[in-house]
Amino acid sequence: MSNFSTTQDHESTGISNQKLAMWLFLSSEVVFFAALISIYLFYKRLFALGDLTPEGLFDIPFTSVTSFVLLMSSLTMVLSHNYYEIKDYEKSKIWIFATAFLGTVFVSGQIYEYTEFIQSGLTISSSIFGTAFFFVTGIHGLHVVIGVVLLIATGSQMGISNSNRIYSLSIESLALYWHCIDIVWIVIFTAVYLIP
Amino acid sequence: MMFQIKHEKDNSKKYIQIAIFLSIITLFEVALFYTTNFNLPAILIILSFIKFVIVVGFFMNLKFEKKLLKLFFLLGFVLSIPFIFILFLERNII
Amino acid sequence: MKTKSKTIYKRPNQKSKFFDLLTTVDHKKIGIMYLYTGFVFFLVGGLEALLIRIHLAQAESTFLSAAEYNSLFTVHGFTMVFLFFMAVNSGFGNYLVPLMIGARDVAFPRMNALSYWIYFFGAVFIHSTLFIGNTAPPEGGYLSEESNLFSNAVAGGWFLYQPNAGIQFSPGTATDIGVIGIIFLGVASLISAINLTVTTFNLRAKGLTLMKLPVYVWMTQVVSFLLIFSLPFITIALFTVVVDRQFGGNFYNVAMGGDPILWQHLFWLFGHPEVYILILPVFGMISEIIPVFSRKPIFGYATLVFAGFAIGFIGFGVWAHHMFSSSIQSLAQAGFGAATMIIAIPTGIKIFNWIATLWFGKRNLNVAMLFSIAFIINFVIGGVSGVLHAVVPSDWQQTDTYFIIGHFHYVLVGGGLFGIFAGIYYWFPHVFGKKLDEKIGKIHFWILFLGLHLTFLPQHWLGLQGMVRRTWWYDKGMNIEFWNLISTIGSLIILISVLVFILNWIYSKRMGEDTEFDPWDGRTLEWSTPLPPPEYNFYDIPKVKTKDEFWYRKYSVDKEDRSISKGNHTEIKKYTLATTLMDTSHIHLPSNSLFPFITGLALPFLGWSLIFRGSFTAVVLLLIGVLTLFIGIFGWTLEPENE
Repeated sequence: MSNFSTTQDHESTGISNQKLAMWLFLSSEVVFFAALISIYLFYKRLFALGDLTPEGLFDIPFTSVTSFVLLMSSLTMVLSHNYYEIKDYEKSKIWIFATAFLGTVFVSGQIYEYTEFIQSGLTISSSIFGTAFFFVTGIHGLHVVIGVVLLIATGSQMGISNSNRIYSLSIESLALYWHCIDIVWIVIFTAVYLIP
Repeated sequence: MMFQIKHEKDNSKKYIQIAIFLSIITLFEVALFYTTNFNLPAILIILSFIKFVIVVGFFMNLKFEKKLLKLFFLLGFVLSIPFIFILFLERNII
Repeated sequence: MKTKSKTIYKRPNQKSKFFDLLTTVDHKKIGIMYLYTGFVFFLVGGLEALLIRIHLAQAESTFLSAAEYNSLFTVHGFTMVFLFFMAVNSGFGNYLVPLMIGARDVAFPRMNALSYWIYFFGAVFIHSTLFIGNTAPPEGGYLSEESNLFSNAVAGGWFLYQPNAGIQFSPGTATDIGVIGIIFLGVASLISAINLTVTTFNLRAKGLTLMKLPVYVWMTQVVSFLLIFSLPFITIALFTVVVDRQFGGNFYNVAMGGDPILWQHLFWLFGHPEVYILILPVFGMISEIIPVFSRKPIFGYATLVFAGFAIGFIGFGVWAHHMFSSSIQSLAQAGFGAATMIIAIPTGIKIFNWIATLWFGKRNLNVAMLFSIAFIINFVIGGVSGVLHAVVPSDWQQTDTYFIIGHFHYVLVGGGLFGIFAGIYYWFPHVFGKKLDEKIGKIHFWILFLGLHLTFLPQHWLGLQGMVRRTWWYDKGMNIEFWNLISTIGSLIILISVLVFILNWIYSKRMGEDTEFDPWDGRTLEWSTPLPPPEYNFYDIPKVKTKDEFWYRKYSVDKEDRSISKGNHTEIKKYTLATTLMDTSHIHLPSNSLFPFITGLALPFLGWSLIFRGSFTAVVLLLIGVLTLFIGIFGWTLEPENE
């Protein structure tokens, strides 16, 4: 019944239960975010018509930096997994906390951006641009926050018991989740911020 | 680009190389955004797609995984296409 | 690989039957819980339907108020689709899939329990609308004079068309409760779908390659894929509604540029795959029952499986056939119409396969078989009216009339419910070790068959005569009273059949014919266990050589492909029953856990905190919800591994 059984006494795909489950979940998330981004693009034409427009509000340099931070968090995440695979748990723990840190920086950047926009008058109810923008970036942001919580929870357990105990959510699955929200942001950044 | 990621070995150098490549693409995107407006959407989409594929392929290791996982992931995209198509049709984007 | 870690607490072990239910992770018990709970909601949904039918029996009826009527047809839809049908499918799937693939349990037993508890508490949350729901602004008070028990629920149709079901035209908490409840149920289904997929792919017995799987397992797998890829659409859609209703969003606010058609696309992108999610498991059950009672293998196994995949895949390309009378472009309409006709082909292939299995078989027309054959007849009738809707201009006349209601009740009740009863009569001996009584069963069947046709056949011509859906009033001058009365009488006959069934259930559980092993001369692996099965399912995990593995242990084939008994049934039975007395120390089962229950318990509190947003109560509810959720999740992760 273990999640990581590799005995050949049954037919199997050869992919661990948890990894398979996470890929299925991420396939669902792909559809989820595709729908989300499509909703934004569906209404995009109307955004230039309001008082507050994307061109007027967006600070592309700023958001490019936060996007880059998130992209680099994918690097720290894969490094953490890499060191876990070669059983260097000290390094793995460092890189997982680095990932959590970069994720937090990203979210902080978003919160800062939100406060700037809200102060300029853009809210969920002020215009359809406001609704769509906060909806898309907010749902993504929530996913990042959940990811950071999972990273810290996993990272702290790695520190305490100092054994090669496999936790409920393996580093590999967590990494897959984290990379997924990174690549989703690549698409969101392009669709929302960069494309006129 | 025969880029082998072998399990149970230290691939950290390879990952850092990939990250540097991704950073270069990002710099290029930002530069394009500020300098030209020559069919910007198309180029940005292509560059983002390249970044996307690289992260999925190498960081998520999908390039080296079994076909089944590639199928599931691809299925997510394929099944989103009708929706995207209809929305674009509605808004006369296509 | 794993070291035994220090534990602060142990996994619970069953002290009382009640506590065992709360903490069980056994797929069979969870399946039975789904079935019982689902059946309760069948009765609730049926009551809602009866009230509607009693109201419609007369023209210009005031049996129900408009508000009550609107709530009733909405909740009837929600209850039957989400709380009954999907739960029963989950029940059968959970119970049968591990048994059919030779496994001891699913891949993630605690997640399995979690799916059930999310469903349970989601249902509790939705029904809290009876007490705290209102369809008037809060100034009117939660139970103001205009509203009463029946009108305190979400109204406006289960598809919640926006902006009709938005905050401006449907104020009050009732709609929010419905919307949030469905979000919860969606999460339960997604977890279950992932769980069963990993189970089917990774936990099969040795030798059980994919194309040897029973058709039922394949159909359940297609359903899991449908859920994984369609639930995101409804989740996003419901999130947009919550944003619009609770946070002043403008997605469907026409004055600000919102477009109602967006909701329709999102909803039906889920809604259409949903109907295949409902019926494909039933297709699977029929595909298991008919071969057993025809004593022949299923005709065209591979085509059945691939037709299932075709239905699933094409099902993602037909959703706008629910929107033919909306503003979508003609080209799109034509495309969806064509796709809808195409999807009838794989469905038709399945029908032919079932008929071919029955043909020249040594048929045993017991109750399960009667329900299965009636399923085919009823489903074809329903399917034929469905193909009529695929013709776009024809649908412009039929849509939103009782013609459509006739169509989907034929496929869902005539098809789905009959298939479910077939499954119940077939697998009841497996779960309880007793057979349901055949004589009472036949009475049940014929009364239901009569009731079905009496209720829903007239609805076809009522619809064509202009009777519209979701409308509580029709004038005397419309001349549609007579057939409405017939339809209502039919629904009362259905009620009688349900009572007969309940009678059969109660009688048979006490005095039914005992069966300890393989009463039907079954073909698939679940029949190789003693009945009822022990907690560990199989004493030895079977080694599989062929499709219908269990059958070919009892029968060999001659040159003309006829099955010849090996004469070893008594031996197999003796050995199997003897294993219940043997030492089971080599068998390791997942231990019970309370944390799925606790995690599920958090959800209503989180939902209520959003409903009562802005008040002090909401903060308290939120704290309770978040605390319970944290205890649930952290307790879960820190629990010791199975002992």
